[in-house]
Amino acid sequence: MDGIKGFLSRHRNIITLIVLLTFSLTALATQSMYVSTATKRVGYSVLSSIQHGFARIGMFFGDAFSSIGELKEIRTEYEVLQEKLVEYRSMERKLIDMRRENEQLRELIGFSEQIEFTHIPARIIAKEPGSLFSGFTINKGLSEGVREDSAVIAYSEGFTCLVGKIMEISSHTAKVLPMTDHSSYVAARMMESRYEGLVNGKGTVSGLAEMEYVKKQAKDEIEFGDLVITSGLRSIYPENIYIGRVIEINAPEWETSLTLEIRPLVDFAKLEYVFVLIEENPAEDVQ
Amino acid sequence: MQKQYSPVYIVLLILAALLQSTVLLPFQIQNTRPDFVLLLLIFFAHQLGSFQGMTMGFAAGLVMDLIGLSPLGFHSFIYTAAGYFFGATRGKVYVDALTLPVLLALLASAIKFILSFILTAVFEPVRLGALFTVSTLIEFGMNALISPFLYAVLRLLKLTREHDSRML
Repeated sequence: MDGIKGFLSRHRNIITLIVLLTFSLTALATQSMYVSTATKRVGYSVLSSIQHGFARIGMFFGDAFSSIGELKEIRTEYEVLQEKLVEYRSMERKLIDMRRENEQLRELIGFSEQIEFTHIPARIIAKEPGSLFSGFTINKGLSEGVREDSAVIAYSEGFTCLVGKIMEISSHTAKVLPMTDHSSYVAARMMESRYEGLVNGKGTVSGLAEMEYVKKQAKDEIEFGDLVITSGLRSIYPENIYIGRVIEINAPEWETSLTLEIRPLVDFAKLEYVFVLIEENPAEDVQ
Repeated sequence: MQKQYSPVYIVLLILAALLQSTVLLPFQIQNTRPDFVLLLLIFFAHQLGSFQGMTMGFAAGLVMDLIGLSPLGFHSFIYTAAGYFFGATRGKVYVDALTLPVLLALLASAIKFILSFILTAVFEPVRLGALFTVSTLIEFGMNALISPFLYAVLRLLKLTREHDSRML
């Protein structure tokens, strides 16, 4: 017994190292990032609450500091605004009338009936701690109705743009896999020429994506700056959501299809707010 | 024998991992942030030794895997190995105010890069391209730049101190 104890005691460091590294490797080998193990799910649920708390503290101090800096500007602006207030009051009356008219027009064209999805607004509260992976965390989770694989969109440049999809959820937070991630694939089509393809992320650092498997005959019909949208074909992403613009067209002789380089309409570095789409009447063929 | 307070250091590392993904987000250039967890780990491991270093690294790495989208085991492997390696420098390397913190930060970044490359090549080959970008160089630079200041703060808070060390 002393022999074993002595051996363990003498080689405590190396044995512990081997055990910890083996645990890490086993965990890596027995899961992919798409299959969340129970351990990861439970751990994330606990830690996400703390992470949520830190994010709120960070936002509080961030807002407080920026408020002090803005105080001087607000004072001078206040006097100018007082003068303009009278002018704006009359404008407000006109605006109310215009809004009412606008709402009536919207009702007339049945715009609201065309919306298949309800959306949940969410704020980005945390990003991936390392730089190799590119997920981020939002402040809405299961309790607010967010579900796994829900599509995530944002408004940018006047477009409804694709951001990514929900990967993991806890009660009040969710992790989002951005469409620029290497493991993200989105069924897409060219908005004008209607040619289809598959958009694959090229990593958040580059912030670009590639549209692959586009028929070669499309070469003459595609131009730089053309818009790419989701096709909605057998996909979790609804159709007609804007993805990005074509910035490069690659047509190697030996390839049977084109590869288009896409710059997403969303600037992921500046993204703060997103909308999680909740499908009310999911189609049967949606994966 | 020196009294160890590894639970305090582990808690600090876990806090750093959580802060790195939230409050410290503005400290970024081209979507790249310094790895505060790695920097703290190398100084704490150097202070406490290999055993404490690897357990702290394992705990911090596990937290990073849980709060991020990286597969479980990815960061825990890297930080365990880094904690063990830098723990082995205890009492063997004298860390001055400027040069050694920078060198240790660069060495730690290199170890992280090599291990990330190996793990990515084996388990996530699709991400290999993300390693060979300007972002990696920016992270190296940021880590090197911040390490002397971080080390000074840790010394000020008496979380690290040099003892029984020899000049290398």
